[in-house]
Amino acid sequence: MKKILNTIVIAGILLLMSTTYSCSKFLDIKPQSSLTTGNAYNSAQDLENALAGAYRAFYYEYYQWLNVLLGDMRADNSYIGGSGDPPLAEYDNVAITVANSSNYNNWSQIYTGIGRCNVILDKINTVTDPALDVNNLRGQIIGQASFLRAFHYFQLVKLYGGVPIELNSNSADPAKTNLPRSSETEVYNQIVKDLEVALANCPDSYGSDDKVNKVKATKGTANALLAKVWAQRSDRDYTKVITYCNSVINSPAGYALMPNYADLFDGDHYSNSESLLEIAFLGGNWDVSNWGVQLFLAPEDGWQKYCVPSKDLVAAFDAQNDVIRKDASIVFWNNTGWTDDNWNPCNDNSVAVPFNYKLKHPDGWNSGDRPYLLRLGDIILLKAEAQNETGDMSGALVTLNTIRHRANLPDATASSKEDLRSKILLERRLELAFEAHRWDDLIRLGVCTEVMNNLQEYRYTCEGGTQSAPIKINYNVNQNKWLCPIPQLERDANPNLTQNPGY
Amino acid sequence: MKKKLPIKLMPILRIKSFFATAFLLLIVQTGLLAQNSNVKGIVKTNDGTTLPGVTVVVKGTSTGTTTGADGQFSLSTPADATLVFSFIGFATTEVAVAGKSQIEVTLTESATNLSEVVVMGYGTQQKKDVTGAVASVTSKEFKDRPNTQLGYALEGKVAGVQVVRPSGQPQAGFTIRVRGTSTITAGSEPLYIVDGVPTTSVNQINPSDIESMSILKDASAASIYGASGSNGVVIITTKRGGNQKTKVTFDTYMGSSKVWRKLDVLNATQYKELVSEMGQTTDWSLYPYNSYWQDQAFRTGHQQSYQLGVSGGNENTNYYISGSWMKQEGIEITNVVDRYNFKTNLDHSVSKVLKVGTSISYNRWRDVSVNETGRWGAINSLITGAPVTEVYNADGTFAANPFIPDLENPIALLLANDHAYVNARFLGNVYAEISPIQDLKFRTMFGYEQNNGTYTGWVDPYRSREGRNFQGIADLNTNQMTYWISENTLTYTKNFKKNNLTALAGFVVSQNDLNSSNINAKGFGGSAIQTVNGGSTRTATAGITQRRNAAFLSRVNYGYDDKYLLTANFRADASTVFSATDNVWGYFPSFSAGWRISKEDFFTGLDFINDLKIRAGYGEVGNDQVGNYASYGLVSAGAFYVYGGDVVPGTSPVTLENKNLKWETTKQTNFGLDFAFLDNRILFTTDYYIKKTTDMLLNRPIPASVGLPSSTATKNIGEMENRGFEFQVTSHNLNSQNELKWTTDFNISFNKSKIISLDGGTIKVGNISDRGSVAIAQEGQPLGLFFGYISDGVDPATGDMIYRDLDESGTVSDGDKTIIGNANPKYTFGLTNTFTYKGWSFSFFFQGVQGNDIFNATRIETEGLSMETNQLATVLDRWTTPGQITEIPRATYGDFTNSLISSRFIEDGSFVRLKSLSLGYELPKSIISKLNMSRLYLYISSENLLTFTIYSGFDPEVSVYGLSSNNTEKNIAPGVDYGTYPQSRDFLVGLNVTF
Repeated sequence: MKKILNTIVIAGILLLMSTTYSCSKFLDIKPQSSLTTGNAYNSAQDLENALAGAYRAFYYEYYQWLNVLLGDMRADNSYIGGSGDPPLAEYDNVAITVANSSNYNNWSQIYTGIGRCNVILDKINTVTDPALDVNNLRGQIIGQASFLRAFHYFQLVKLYGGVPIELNSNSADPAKTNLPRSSETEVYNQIVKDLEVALANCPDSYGSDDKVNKVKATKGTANALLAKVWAQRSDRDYTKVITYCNSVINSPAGYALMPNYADLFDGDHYSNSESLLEIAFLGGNWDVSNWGVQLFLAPEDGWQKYCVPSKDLVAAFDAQNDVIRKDASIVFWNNTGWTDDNWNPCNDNSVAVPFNYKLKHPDGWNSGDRPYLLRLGDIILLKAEAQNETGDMSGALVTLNTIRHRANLPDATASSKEDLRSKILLERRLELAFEAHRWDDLIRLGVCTEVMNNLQEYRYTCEGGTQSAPIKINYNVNQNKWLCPIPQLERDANPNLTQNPGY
Repeated sequence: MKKKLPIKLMPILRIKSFFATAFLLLIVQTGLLAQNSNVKGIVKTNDGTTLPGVTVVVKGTSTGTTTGADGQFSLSTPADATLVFSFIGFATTEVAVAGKSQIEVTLTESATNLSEVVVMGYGTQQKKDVTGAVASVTSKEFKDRPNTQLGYALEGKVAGVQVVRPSGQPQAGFTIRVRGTSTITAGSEPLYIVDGVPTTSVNQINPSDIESMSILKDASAASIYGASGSNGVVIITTKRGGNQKTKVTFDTYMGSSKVWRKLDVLNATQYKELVSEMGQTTDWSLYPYNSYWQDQAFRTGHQQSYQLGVSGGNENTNYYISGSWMKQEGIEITNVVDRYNFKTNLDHSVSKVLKVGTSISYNRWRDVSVNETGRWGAINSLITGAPVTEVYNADGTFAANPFIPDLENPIALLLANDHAYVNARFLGNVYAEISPIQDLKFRTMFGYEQNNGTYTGWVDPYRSREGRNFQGIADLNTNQMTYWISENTLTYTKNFKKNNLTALAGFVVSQNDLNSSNINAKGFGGSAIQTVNGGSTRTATAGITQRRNAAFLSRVNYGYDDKYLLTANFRADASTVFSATDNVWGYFPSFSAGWRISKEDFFTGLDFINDLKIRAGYGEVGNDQVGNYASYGLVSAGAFYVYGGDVVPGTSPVTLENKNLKWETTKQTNFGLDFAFLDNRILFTTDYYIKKTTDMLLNRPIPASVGLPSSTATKNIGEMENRGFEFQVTSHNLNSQNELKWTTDFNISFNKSKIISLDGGTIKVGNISDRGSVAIAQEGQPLGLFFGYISDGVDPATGDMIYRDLDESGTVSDGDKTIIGNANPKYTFGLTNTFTYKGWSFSFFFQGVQGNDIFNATRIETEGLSMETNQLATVLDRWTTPGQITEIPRATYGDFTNSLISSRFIEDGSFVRLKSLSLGYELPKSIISKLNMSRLYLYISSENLLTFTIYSGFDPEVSVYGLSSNNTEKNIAPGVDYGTYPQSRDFLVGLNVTF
């Protein structure tokens, strides 16, 4: 018995001691199903992975469909459709509140996209992997990350005005994270700076596969964004806009308008010659598919359908007799069981109701349809606008008419600079409907308040099966409403943030 | 840990090697000790069962022993000695030897709890010797009340322990706060120790298997558990056998539960009027119905429970075996839990020096929960569901709100997803105790827990919109939790003259692994196959996380003449939560002392005072209850993208790295007084404590501009404090001399919390859809405040709410927000009265919570008048015409300005509730002995029979964020009702039989 006991005791003591010795090992564990900032950014492949992750920010809800609500539905192109969903109805009514949950999501999603670029730009210069220095891979990654960061800041500055400029990653120190808002000009200067880095480092193309070239940042996308930035900022410079537009138009990448407008949006011609940058969705694979289309189309599924084309927009197409682009942008369906306040208040199955048809394949939330983030048609119209603003009306008309010809429309004429300005604006509306540009165009040309408040839009109720008299919709836009409010949740987290006027 | 063992630990190791050496020497010397003439004896209970483990000490000396498994003891003692017998739950009894060589002693169950033995961490102590703040609840106190969860057995029983049921779902469990909430981000639940094994989940333990629970409230008691003792420790000891005739017990109860209050909502006509007033209308001829959803969703829930237990043993071996099944239906359809429990406890003395044993339990439970939280939750929807539809359309699909096509009716929300969790859990340990000599005991224990959970969900491809959209959805989620702990302690006890010394040293390591995987499938060809293999598209995720802890612990208890009592603890703890930092180790000391004044000479003569002891203690305890990898900057590998036609791997940063993360420390000072007088008929205990948390682990909201999807980062910032008084009185109003006995237990607790500092000033959490955060943590203020506008009623001219313009900006702006309510009760109390008369017993238990506010966010949704959802009937008083004086503003479609977070939704949440009322009858022995039974007890009981409250919601016992997995929300935002599932009123009939 004693022997057994002694053995147990000695074994116990040995166990205790060995455990103690191996203690330091025992206590050193690392995450198994996750990378860490310590091991995720050490090789060329790591940085390529981080860059893919940065592109993936385009899968965020903001880029998948909410930018269309803010760009078109907030403006005069569409109604919310159906009813309800208060945070989104606030976009439609141009009455966004500080607590609007969607507004906060947009803010944080775009900043998350920026964070993914920041970590790449933070880490890349300390990575010594020689593979980074083959074919200027390091430069290409820096250029793409810089472009993406600029793209995101461009969204922020348009939505909110001046925002905090965060260029670093991974600080827990409130002194470093609770940044005050920079001015609009400062944000635009940062965007330009990043785009110049992108321009210097990105290639014109990555090879012969346009399915790669059209989903990555290139010199072409940097030039295009520079053109848009110089047009959009309040200290705009239309001369620069023309220069950058020409760089896109004359790019060695060979951008060219698609001969047939409908092909742009039929789902069979992505990564085409007109595309500069598109979101790389792949249908049928939940990890990388587009579910946003289902929120615009497929009314038979019973979910609310958003962004229902407005009567004003339909009228604008019809006034131009612009059949090609109307048919590519809007589809009228009846017998869908659809009820809304604007087109079919009494749920009459014989009434045809329009839907946003720019993307055509909802595919049960699992679509491969690719929204364009930048396309040549936009850049050409921007050039026309810049030519007009810089006094080159005839040049502007030539440029404008290249777009009109494709839509089978007669040449435009203009009696004055102002007349041409509004004609280009209209052309942009029809060419770029539901591509998230309209609100920015109205702001850029300073006509947002006037256009919105002059809208003759009506809704109806259904009284005992009969459509009511029209009820005028008043948008009550003023200049304060041109910008969204800084989300309250963000101001709670960062007390240094000021609110936009009027909120 | 990256570094070598810290220098500070070396003394402990030296002590350990000292013990080890002493241990070996003493083994050699065993048997050399002097012996006297022997007294033998046996210890029994009233009913003749022998009692093992009773401490037998020669009074005034250190000589002593414990009874063996057969209840026998033998001891060498002078012929004129007096022997002192003590055992948990029994009155300490003194017997004079008076020359006898054979003694038979009968211990009676103690009327007073002073002589009880209390289970402390790594050992037991007589209650009279305890110097910290410790409370215990034994099975006696809850055995005759049906408890489906052990938390209910603690409700209102112990001062300073607040049990909150966050929801009335049977699977919702409970949250326990010992002396308030002392942290913001880290966990606030106490540490549970079940038969020596720490565990996080005790919801599934069968309360019938529990023998006693000790609650270590202050730091001097809890700091032996250093690492995780900062929220208090609940030590659960399950029943074990004894040296006795085989005893078979059968306990059963059955009953029903119902919602005790329903709310009036608009009927179909009123609903149509309201939405039309908001300018929303449709072809009403399609909606000819008038549904009152509460009648369709609430039901009488049935519950039943059966438990069979067998216990017994002989002098060397004892056992306890039990099995049980219980099923409880919630008061809302589909909501159900059923549970099987199996339990075995076994102890065997191999020899006088070696004892081995095991405790094993296995539970399997299946539960179907309802998603109750928030705007679209299963409770809120009963109010907001449009009354104009029925459950199904003519084509068999679920009917939806006429205006919100993707919002189906409340019954559809309950039925659409056919889901269940099935969990199986093994919890057990094996131990060996070696006592080579009388005073020294080495104990090694290995504990193991494994919990396998499977969630399955199925949304058929026809009935619901979601199902049709995705052509059916199936989910299969599994998670596997594995935990092991190895615990090794050495205890040395020495009593000499009037000195009593116990020293303990030990070493503990543990590891926890969590392994989860989820598969989601869509695109089913029909309803025949409802498992994920039948779907045409699938997504899958998986994850593994791990945590390890190690600790060295030590404790010394010293007492002199029962008058002066000292306890000192020191524990060094390591946690891998901090493994990315240099702060893996934390060090937690504590000291406490007691002075039994009643033992002093100057007290002789004051015979009505039986015991008077004052206690004081100080201690530090740690908290590491944050994410397993909180110190790392985590980067997700799931950020795929598409180049060309190919999906490529991608990564994205998720959390912030924090190399400075370290242990949160709670420093607690405790002063206590124990007082027993009038022949121990009145027992009074009071404590005052100051609990100060420093280096608080805080999930500080970080601006989204940092660029991470997680909106918070874990940091050590801030300090907070809880101070409070606790009083506990037990009064034997009519004592055992009378046939009628009457005992009253009363306890009341006052706690005040204060946030001393909080980096950056405030944290706001508790999001209410489209209105922002409702709760605020702010420097200088208590935890649990509501933040919003002050409402000054409805403007009779416009029908809009008037919010007080505190910042005089002329508009409703941020500057107008202020603190509008406090969720902390001023005090909580529990009052239990028990009457027994012959075989009858009658008891009732009131629980009270007073002076707290509830933020009724359910009313924001149901009196908000901004959407086409149905509303409470109170909105019939809404403003419609200028000049109208009313409390309810006008309807404003799509505009929430009239229902912002404001004092309009603050309500007094005080309540007094008759939690339990029970009447029982124990049949006379003369009758049942003919049936070969030793006890037959019948009872009827009711839970939540009466509730006194002015709160307007379903139920005042609410805490929507108590269900949250986000501790910050849980800690900062108590007392929010946001579609909370109400507590039910239950009636039960029960039967306990012992053979």
